[in-house]
Amino acid sequence: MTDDLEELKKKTSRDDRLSETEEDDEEDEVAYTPVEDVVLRENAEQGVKTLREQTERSGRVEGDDEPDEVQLSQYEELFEEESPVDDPYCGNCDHVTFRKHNGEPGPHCSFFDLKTLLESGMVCGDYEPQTHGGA
Amino acid sequence: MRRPSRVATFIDKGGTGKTTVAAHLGVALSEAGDDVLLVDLAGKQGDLSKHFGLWDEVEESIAEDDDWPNISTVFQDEWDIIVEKLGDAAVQDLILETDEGPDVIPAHPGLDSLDAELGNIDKPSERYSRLDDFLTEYVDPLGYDVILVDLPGITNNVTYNGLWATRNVVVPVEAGVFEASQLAALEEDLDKMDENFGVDVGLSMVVPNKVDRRTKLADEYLAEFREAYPEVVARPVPVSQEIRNAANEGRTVFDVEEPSRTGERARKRFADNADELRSRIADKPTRTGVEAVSDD
Repeated sequence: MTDDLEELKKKTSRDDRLSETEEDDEEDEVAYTPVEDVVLRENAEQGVKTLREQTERSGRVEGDDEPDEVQLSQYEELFEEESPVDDPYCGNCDHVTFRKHNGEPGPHCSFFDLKTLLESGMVCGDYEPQTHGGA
Repeated sequence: MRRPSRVATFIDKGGTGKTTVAAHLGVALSEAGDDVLLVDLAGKQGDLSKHFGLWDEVEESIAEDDDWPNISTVFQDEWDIIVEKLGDAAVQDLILETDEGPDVIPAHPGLDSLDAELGNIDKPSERYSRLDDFLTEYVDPLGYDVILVDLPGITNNVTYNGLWATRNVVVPVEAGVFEASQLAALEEDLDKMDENFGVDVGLSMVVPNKVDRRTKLADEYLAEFREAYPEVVARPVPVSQEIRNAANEGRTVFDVEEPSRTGERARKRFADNADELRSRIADKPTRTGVEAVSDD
């Protein structure tokens, strides 16, 4: 067997893949069925929508009181840089230690970050899943 | 080139005889003249291979470190490159011949971690279409008439790959309240797959399995299944010690020379059901293509 085939074999063989999966397990990675995907996605979308509405409402009030004050977002406080996306939070809670799906610190709470959080129990105590939408 | 018909055996419950039904339908189709490939995704224990006395061969290859590539490899990102380097042998080596007609791609311990690995693929259309891609590109050209995939008795990413690829499902059920509720849950799940992903998986056949007509309960459940699924309930397969004995000997009841009465009846029922199944899955296109699937 040639070296590159040996390499492919090593990479795609059970022992090697298992060790990767075990590492993933430590990060509480989980597999999702399509139905769970949809439910989680709806939760995330609804959460973002709710947060946006809340932000718009509070923005109007705060804007009247202190028009010149610039508040750092939780993302900016945590990562000391501007969020690369418009809405960095999932909207379901104020928890900011979101991770990417691969377990690394992530720039924002994407759909998969939320899934990781939900399954790993890392969401804050205030969060309640909303399977039918609504905040 | 004509596409093979594809079908999966599945219900989210253990012990209903999924693998037994897959093996026997496979042999029945084969005896009726079809070229059949059985694919075992049901778990590392390799029960489908055991039905044909092939598991020792698989275990030997594992012991001798001669088990690569295997069925779990075809789900990996590197599969296309592996085929490029190994050529046709990569696919041919996956397939074992049986003495009873069908060919088999046996299970492998690598299936153990497959669900979690697939879960790490973000896009649903990539996560659930791996088996479909493999069958379409590498197995369909081999000229089989029917590809029958035996799935795990649990709903996970491997299961969805099987349903996604086959678009037809045969559901073996025992006469019991849990099977009735699992069957209803499966129907809901299939509807959601269609609604959310544009993947239309048809309930092709419900096979009442291990039916003991001497009990009143069995008759009652059979009547219920027929009322709930009048178009897809198959002929009930009787409970038979002969099937268990044959499995222990590494064969199906079709290979038993002088079967008992129940063994004979089971054989006939499987043959009838295989005929019916062929006509049902032949009417339905197997694959509508992953391009219809949304990643949203």
